[in-house]
Amino acid sequence: MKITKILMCAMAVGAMAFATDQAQAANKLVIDGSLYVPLNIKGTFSYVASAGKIKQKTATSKEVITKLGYAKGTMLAFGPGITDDVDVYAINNGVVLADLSTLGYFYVNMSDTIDTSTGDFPTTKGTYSEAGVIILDFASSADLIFLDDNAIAFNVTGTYTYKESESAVVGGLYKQSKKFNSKNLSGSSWITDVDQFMPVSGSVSGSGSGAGVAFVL
Amino acid sequence: MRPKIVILILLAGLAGVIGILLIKQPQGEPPPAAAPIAITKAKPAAPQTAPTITNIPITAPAPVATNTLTPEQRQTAIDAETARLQQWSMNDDPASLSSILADLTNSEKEIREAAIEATEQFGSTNAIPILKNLAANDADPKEKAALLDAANFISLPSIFDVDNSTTPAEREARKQARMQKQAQNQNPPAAPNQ
Repeated sequence: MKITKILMCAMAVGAMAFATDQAQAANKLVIDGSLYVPLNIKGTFSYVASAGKIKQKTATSKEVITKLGYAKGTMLAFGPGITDDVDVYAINNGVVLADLSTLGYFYVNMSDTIDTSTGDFPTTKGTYSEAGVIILDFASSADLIFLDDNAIAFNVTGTYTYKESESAVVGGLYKQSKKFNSKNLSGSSWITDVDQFMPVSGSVSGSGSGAGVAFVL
Repeated sequence: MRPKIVILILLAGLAGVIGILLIKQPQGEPPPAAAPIAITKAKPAAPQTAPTITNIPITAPAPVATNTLTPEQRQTAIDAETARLQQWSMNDDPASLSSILADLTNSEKEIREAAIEATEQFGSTNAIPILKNLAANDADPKEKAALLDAANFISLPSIFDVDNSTTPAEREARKQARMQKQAQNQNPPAAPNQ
């Protein structure tokens, strides 16, 4: 993901800090000056229910965060990062509770195949768009290698689109927004209670915005 | 000439002049000036007749975008409502659900899409009849499909609904058997001598 590369360009102009704006006031997505993007993950798992019968079960990011033991209202979110490997965080009410990637529960890689940008941020409005391949792995017991060592685990991949935009800096203020979407995820999964390796399909999406303050050094 | 004949001739002439004038006038009233195109798109209201959801108060959608906003202000308003939807979807209370369901009929397509995702994340089967009824009245085939997909997704059981049909000991035994089978597949026994 190249988002941070744009941010680095902005940093060349001056140090930046994000502040609360109307858009993120509802769930406080800007934490310690960084924009966190809440994730909507959903998956559909097919399993053999009985001889000759295949059924489906589902999972959502809300259920995943609950499964990991976090309180209601906690959200999965992409956080700031400087590489293609994007960390997934648990955030709640403007507080980062944990880096779930560091803890071994998630692995996310967004490798862009194409990208394009417009504008000349911070002088003018700037946009950056990319599309590529995303890998999203989850393991409820933090074993991302052996799926069946977890109560629930999945490895999925698919294509994604990502768009980031920054308004022109006016009076030292600007707005940044990020959006991404992947609707064609597929892969394999394991659920101990079902006791089967299963195919899974699903999607992941997210969006977030915040107001930024740019200081010219 | 007799006065009656003169009056008849005058009336006939007057009628002819009036007829000519009427023919020369444009047909019908000129069309009114085109109304300004509203930014918002009217959506069918959520059906209020589904029996399973009558106890859920449906709040009015937040006023998000009007044609008086600049594009930036409009996007900010959309982002704000999307952020609220994200937060509501993580809750479990009826008020959050009703707020999400209200946004299924928001005038902004982006918010309606976010509301569908939020409905899936919230995961209440109470939303199913509403999603189906909205789909039945939606003219947009993509949105109709998204609404029906969401209804279907919510109707399926969760993988987190624990099935205790197997004990941990049974699962461990199955795991051992599976590992044994994998090992055998990796090292198949030598073919018997012919």
